[in-house]
Amino acid sequence: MKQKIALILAATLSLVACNDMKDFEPQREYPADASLRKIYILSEGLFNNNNSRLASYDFGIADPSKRLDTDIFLTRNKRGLGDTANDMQRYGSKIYIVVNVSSQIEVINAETAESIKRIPFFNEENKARQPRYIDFYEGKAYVCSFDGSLARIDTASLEVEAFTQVGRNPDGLCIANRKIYVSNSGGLDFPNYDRTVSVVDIDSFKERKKIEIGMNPYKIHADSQGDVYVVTRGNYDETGYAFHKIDSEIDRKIQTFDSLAVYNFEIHADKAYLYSHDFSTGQNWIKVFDCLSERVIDHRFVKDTSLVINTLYGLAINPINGDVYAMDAQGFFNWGDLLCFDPTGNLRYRINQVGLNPNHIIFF
Amino acid sequence: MGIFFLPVFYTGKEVVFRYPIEIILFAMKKSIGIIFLFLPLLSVAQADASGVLTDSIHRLQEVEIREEVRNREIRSSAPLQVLNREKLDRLNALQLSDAVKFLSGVSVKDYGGIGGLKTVSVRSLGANHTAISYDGIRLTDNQTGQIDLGRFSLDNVNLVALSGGQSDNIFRPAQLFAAASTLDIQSKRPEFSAEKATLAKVSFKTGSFGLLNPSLYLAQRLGKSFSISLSSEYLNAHGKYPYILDYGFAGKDSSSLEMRQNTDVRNFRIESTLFGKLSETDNLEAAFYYYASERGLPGPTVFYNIDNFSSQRLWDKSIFFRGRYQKELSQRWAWQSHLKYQLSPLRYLDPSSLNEKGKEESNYLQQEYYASTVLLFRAGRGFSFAAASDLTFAKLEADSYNFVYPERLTWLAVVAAKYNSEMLLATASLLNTVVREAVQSGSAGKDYHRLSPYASLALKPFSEIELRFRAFYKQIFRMPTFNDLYYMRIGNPKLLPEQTEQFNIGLSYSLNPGGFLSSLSFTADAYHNRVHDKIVAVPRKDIFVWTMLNFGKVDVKGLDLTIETLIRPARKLKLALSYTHSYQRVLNQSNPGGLDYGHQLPYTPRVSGSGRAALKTPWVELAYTLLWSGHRYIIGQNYTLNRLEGYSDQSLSLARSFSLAGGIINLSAELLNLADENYVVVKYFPMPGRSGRLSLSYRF
Repeated sequence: MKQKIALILAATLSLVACNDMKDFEPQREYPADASLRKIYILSEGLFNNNNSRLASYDFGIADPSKRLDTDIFLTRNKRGLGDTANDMQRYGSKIYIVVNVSSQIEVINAETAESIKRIPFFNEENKARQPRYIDFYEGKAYVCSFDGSLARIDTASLEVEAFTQVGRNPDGLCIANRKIYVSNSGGLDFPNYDRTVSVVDIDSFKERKKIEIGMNPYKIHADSQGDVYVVTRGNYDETGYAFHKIDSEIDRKIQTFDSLAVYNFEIHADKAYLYSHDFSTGQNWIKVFDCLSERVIDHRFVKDTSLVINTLYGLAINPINGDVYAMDAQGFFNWGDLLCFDPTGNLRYRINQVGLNPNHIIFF
Repeated sequence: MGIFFLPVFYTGKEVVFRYPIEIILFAMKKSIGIIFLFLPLLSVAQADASGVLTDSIHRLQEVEIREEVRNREIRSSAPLQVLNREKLDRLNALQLSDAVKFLSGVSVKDYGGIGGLKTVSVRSLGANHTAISYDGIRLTDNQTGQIDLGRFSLDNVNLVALSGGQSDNIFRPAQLFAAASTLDIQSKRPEFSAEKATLAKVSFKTGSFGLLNPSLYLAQRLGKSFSISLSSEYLNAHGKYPYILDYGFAGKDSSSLEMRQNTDVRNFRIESTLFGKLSETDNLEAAFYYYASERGLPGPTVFYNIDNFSSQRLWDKSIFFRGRYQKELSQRWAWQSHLKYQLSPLRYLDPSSLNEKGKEESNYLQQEYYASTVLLFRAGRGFSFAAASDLTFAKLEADSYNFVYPERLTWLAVVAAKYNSEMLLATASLLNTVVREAVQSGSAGKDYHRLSPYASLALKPFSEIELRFRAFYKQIFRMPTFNDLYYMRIGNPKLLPEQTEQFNIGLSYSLNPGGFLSSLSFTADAYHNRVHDKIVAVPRKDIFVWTMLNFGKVDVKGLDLTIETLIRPARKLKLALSYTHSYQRVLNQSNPGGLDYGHQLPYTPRVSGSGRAALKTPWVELAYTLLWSGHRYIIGQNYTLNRLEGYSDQSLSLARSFSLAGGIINLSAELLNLADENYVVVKYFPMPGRSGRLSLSYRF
């Protein structure tokens, strides 16, 4: 009898304690946009989790709930992108994805997302170069890597043709006046950051000089006049963010915009969309800066004052109509959202929960 | 980065958020089969799980109890799980972490392989909330707050006991009251017979992963009052094992067969204890412990770049001296005192770094001085009272940039009371903590003061039925670690301690019919835990720069079940069966309205369990073990794409003993992960597949 009691008790309690943990489903709506065919959204994922993903949102699919494929790269190639995909750019019919921690450049067919070639980025000693950013000029792709190298890849053969040395831990590049400008962050030598931008001649593919710019240079872009704009991030402490201009004729810093503590920016049609985000307070702003008149023309791009962007992590501008897409990383540990604004800063729609730490978009 | 560093705090820039883990170690003991339960003359107290530090040591009479009845677990007013030497022998376990996985309510975070980091979290409170004590002294790591259980071999261990809440033994140092749960490790203690003044054991283990593990145990009686023991062990393994790396969904997408790299381990341990029985009422114990290890840190299996995450190295040592003196002052009063000095150097090297030097190297040195005194008063009529006062001084040195050289002085004082009768066992304690922080430069962490209450009760309503109802309530906290407070750029000196609150109700039941069903015991506990001011890393200005904050809030509702039985199918056969089942609903409540609010915490299965079966025949002993876990999630949002499927791990062993030249030889063969399941506990840190181990020992 006692034994029966014990067994019944055990059985009952085991039933109470069964696995009742169900998956949650992402809550999102699936908007339409007649001006676009589809977009690709790159999400870098979390370090050491191999969860960089390329999502595709196809506006042409009639059934809204089928528009989003959270990883078209995996769907098409039966393998993941890898760890910490940091940059994505289109050149011709191909898209180049820079996968930082996996140390690879993944070249895909832009239309199908099928991989054409995966280019490993390792030095002679098999040490990972850790590529960060990519840009293009006259049929060549240029990639800067944390190991201090700048690589030139032929976009037809997809072979790495040459490497040249720049500064410490490059973390941004752009091209102006047949020269490549590379931001040398020195970030891996904290507190001894680098302060320079390297100038590399396209033809000789040699570093011509280093321009003293400020502590911890980061994102760098050129406008149509050959002005190069660069952000320095300082040491996140007493030296804060700053925004500078380099004249690519004389290769000197000619201005620091003191009032603009810019964290990151993108340029479209000679308009720089500057933004900043303080992750501890959640405060952020987006400003529009005219690269020709060199002044801020819109101090408050987002017009809806009640709109909350939790973790502003990236901006992308639709080259066709100038719509601005803000990426909200939702605290980095949650899947992030995409917010589409028209060129005047009014929210058109949002696609929530597109991926973990979204950072780049390609428009079709 | 690498196994020792919390990987989540990095997204591709210069932050290297590291959590070097502490050291210290252990070891084993021969199996006895019978445990002596000490029943005190004054019926004030009963033997505790730790065995060593009981409310009353002397004037006892010995009563033989069969170990299978789990007497202490059944009587305890707070959940207690004990693995004695015989059980440890049947667990197919090499390291302490292998054994602890079989306890209910425990989750061991295992990064795989002999050298991989293994930390234990009890009832989802987090690894920093479990105190680990070795022969009654708490082992500490003030830098990370976590102890790697993979460091401890089971070679010199006699018993492992996990107390949820706290032990019913109130005659203990205050340190052991100051944690949400305690894992007690008791080393082997020599038991001399009248004719034998020397005991010895040599053993050798070998097997997969290039394992070579010789060990030696010696004990010598020195005159009438003293004896000394020496235990030493060396372990060498290349640690490599094959695994399947999936580049997408297993079975659907690409995969490759890989070999786990940078897994080599070399450990050396030597410890010696001097036991002195100065008189019938005076006991003295002095011990020295030395452990040194060099190992590779097998990193995450990063797609297309595994090699660069397979080059980090770690060298560490743990050295401590401890002394204990215990005296029965009178029939009513007893006193004990402890001293400890601990020294733990650690060196870390990452040759894959892309900084200017082309490598990253850090050296750390932790030291701790500790003294404790405990007084026990047996008031009679089942009442006893204890007071303990502990003083600890800890400091950390490092060669990193702008290091602050922190020091911490902790004073713990506890008063405790206990009532014990046939029907009722009740304990209560109040712990006073005072912490003073100092640094040589920069700002120091906050000083802290707090009172922490505990109460427990076990009720046995029927004198003839071994059925008890029990409950406990405990409030306790953990101090921020030196890393939490001062780690370069990430540490935050303004942090407050992380608070926990536990409430448990349960029952225990056992019967002892004899005959075919020799014994059966059962425990069930339901609990509700809350963690607030949880210390988590959050981005500061930027994704590259993080800071520690008291941000998290966790709500845990769980159920732990254990059942154990002994069957005698025939006169010479003994079959021991046991099973544990854990249910944990561990919900993130940090950020109301957040996208992961109300989701199960990452890496926490809702259900998990373990099973053991051991058949003892006159010729051979056969043991089967099973561990299983339900699915988990790798990040906070419980989305399908973040899901990590469950797993099971089964092992089998055969052992046989025979006499030879006055000694006993024991031979055993183990087959681990029988099903060759390719699973992970932590994503991209694969566990080994099927492997084997052979052991040979000679005891004389």
